Amino acid sequence: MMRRREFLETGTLAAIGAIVVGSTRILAATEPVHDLIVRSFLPENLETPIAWFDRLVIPNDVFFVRSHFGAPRLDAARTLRIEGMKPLDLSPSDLEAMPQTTVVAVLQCAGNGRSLIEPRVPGVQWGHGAMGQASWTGVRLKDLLERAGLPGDARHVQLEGADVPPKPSTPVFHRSIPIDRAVDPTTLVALKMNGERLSHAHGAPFRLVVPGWAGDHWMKWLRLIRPQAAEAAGFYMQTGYKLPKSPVEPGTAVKPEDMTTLTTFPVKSLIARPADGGTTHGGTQEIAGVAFSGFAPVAKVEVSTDGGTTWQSATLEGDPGTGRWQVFRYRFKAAPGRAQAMVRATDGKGNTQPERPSWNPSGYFWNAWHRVQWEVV
Amino acid sequence: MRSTAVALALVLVAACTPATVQHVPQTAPPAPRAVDTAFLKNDCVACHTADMVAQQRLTDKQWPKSVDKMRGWGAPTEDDEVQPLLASLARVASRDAGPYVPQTISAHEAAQLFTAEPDGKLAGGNATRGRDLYADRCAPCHADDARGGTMGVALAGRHVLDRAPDFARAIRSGRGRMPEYPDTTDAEIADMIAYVRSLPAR
Repeated sequence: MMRRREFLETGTLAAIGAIVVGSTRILAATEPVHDLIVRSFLPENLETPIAWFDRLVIPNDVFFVRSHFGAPRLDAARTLRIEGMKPLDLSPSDLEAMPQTTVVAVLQCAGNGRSLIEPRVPGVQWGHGAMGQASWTGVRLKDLLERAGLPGDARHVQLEGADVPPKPSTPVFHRSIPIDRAVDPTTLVALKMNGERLSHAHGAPFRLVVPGWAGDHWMKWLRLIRPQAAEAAGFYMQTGYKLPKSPVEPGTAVKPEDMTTLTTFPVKSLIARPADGGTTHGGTQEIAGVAFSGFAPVAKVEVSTDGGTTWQSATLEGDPGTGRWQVFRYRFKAAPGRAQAMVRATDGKGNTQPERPSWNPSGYFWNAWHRVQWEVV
Repeated sequence: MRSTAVALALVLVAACTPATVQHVPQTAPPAPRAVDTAFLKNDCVACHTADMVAQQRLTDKQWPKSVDKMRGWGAPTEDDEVQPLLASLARVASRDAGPYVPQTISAHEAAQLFTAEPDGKLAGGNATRGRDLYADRCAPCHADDARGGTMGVALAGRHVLDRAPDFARAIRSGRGRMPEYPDTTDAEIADMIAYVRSLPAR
């Protein structure tokens, strides 16, 4: 595994890998290889290698993919049904003709980092790479709901995708979001990702964008939006995507009534470079990665290279924003030998990352201090 | 497929001049630990690939809960098959089964998972003829509306309908508990897929 990882992080080899698969993309010497880690082929769950998290935008072709039941049938002409007092059936071109908004936001799976949780829990065993940042372009959900005539008693918005469970006894994947989040001006029905039409992998032709909230709300292959008075019932609202209302001891069985629906993802930072277990040359070392929070813009990122005894501020790049990541960098000199770095971020509301992850029964929202060790030669 | 790409990459690395190659391992990366997941065929792989199971690291208290959940969701495991299944899971995906080495694929290969494959010889089927074939051969397991039954998975509205060669492979080679029907002709498969494509997903 270690060998394979080192292998992936060699720029020259990355270029060779691209030749092997026939890619026409010209790679910079430092660009990581355009590979994805397969968590499962069916349903399609693909993870972005950690080396990519040193930049503001993750390219579409290596952006992680999450699906519950596998992709539905391709349907570029799929219409989007918006229920209300004047229900609408909109085609992609209908949506394209409406005022467009672009947001830059982090899409992160609620289960990102699940494989790091102890004791281990069932689910897709993501490493760090079930996250990415992109620019998302589309129509504000608020505009669509208003056009369809939002009923006065609507308190929730039910979302359904076109993906089909494998058996009639398998619960349909759906989400229900509260109305105030639905009409938030950053909540979009997106048609584009990083300026390109959404690919089938990412939910074409429509997906929801809910900046700051975990990926389960970002419904792919969106086909139905239904305002309603009550939160929708069903497995994925009542059992899945739940967190304990208050912290629990690792391994605890938590009663359903003591759980609450997860929404906003907590403050987090991750070191992309140097690679854990990798090798660098002696002299100036650069620690680079990303930091973000669903609650507020990032206020500071601190790096420790002495195991947590002292912490230094890293510099931040990119525009600050809620649910939006910035790149951090910290440089220091190191002599040959073992080196290490840890990172922790604090957001504008004073939330800071915990040293250890907060365990929960489904392994959501891992956000402990990220630590890497490498060899300086 | 991937291992071929990796092997080829290694050959190419060997051909590079040393000055342009840094930190290249001198030996090939170790092959992922072979995990015997054949036992999953009967219970799991109709709905998800075996990697979903092989990556888990669960205790003998956690596995029965997961198996129960999956049986509730439609896994065709019978009561008397649960204990043998749990014993196999304990062998390959227990808490102390060692590190799981995931496969990697190129971005190009990943994109292929989401594209349509041309129908080729399976084009031009007749949905009316396909309806009779479907009723006779497929509906007993996949249900009249192709939304899946106790044994067969849902077909209507799913991505396999964009990939007629995959659809044909499943029929001829079997999948999960689905037997193989190697003698099914291209014309019959073309008719069947034409019919299933005409059915609404919900």
